[in-house]
Amino acid sequence: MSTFLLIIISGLGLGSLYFLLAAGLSVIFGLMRVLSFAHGAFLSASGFASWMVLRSFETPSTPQLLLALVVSVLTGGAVAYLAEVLLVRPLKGKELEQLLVTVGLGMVLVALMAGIWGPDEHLIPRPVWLTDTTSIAGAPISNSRLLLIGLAGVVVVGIHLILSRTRYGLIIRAGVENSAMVSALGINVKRAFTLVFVAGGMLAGLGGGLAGTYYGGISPFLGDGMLIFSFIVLIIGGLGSINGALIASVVLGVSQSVANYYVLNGIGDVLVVVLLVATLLVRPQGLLGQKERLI
Amino acid sequence: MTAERVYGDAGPGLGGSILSVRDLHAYVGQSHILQGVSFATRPAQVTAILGRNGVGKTSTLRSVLGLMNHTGVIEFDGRQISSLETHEIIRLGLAYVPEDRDVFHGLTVAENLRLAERRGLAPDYDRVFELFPELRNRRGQRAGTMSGGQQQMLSLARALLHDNRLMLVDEPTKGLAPRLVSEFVATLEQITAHTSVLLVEQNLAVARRLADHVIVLSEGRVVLDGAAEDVLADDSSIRRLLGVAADHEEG
Repeated sequence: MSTFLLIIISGLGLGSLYFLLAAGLSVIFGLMRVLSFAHGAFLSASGFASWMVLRSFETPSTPQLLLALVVSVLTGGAVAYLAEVLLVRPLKGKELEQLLVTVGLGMVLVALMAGIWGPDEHLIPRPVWLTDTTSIAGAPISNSRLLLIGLAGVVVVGIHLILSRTRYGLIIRAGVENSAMVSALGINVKRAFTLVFVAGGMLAGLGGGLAGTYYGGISPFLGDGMLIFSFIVLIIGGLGSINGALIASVVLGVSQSVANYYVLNGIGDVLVVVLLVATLLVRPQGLLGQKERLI
Repeated sequence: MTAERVYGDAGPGLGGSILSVRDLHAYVGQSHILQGVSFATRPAQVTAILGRNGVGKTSTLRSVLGLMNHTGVIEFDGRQISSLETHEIIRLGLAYVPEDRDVFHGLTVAENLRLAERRGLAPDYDRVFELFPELRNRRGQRAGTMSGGQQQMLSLARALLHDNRLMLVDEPTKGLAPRLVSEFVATLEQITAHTSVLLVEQNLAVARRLADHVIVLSEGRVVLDGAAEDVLADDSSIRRLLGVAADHEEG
């Protein structure tokens, strides 16, 4: 029983990482109709920003960890802001070109990071308590997983509060349905586009900071590896649906962990692809996505 | 092709117009939808754009609002607005009631209205709920669960939340039951009493009742432009241009 709980919580931790990346991508696609392939690189860049803060301490304290997380969130937001203003916005209305420019940006950023810090993983020093475990129902659960799940939970609540209680949330929810009509009510949707793209970058940034604590290290390719699974989360959950992304993240993370442990190590990735194909066959719009023709 | 002016100098012209459109061209893919449309609307008048399906009526409204790519000169109250973004055009004092309503289905009635509030201006909820009392009782209901008529009320209500200098209304009676059409026309009559309106309408009876000025489009061009009583006087030619049978007229 304790082993099963351990596997489930590990899966939830993995699902939390997917969600942090997928949540931003989902809202960005919903509002802007842009599939950003650069957010994986944003995650890696933010992870490196966190690593640069933490590597100066042999055993970082909790406030130093928090500082690193703040730096990684700000890095993700700043890189996303520059990408939106300089590359995505000038290509407004050209969805294929916008997609391709994010692919190119992602490749350039990864190559840049590999050029500066090398392709190998860099270990990230962590506070002692983060490398420790907490016993839950007899299962020794890694504190890094609990931190990840807890912060992902805070993000879920935060996103729902923003979407339901603020005017920008209202604009985003309406814009996901019909951004042209939002403009026709006198609202500057471009500002909402930038805000959403930056918010997606900040979530990727948080993911980068936390991925370092989850895996214990950071490499230029970490984000791209996670990006693939986050896109699968998007498709299974339904493009543009935050709740769909949440459900799909949990399902994928837990399924992967359970399959890897109980069936065969590595089979979890195959299971994810099976789930993707099954979703596309049975419910092409995803669990909570809207039926629409994209082309 | 030049538009036939049905009246002499008595009808609307560019002088004193609230909205003037000159040589408007618009494309959708390879199709040349608008092929040099020119017209002007006067303050405190209802200008109706009539024509068969696909002649460019909706494209004209969408071009005025910057919702589709176009070339040509569009002036609102003497100011060039062709290069402005949609939200900037709207903030000059225009409101848009689109074809098919385009209310936000996932938002409640109250949220749809809140979204239409403009910064720095006080929304007139009293007027909206006086015109559409049903909306007051449905404030918490999701717009997507309402009937077509109720969604049309909400779409109009969004446009009426603030005083506007020009309302662009696209086929407000489309798809409504005959009883609702007459209710809507009565409401539109109240609205048009104090607001300039550019109205796209397929229903000839509605156009006869509301319009002061009529523009008829055919194949992306203005073919008739004049005072409503003059343009609509020749029943057979107007029916031919609009592609409606005598028994099709509703209202």
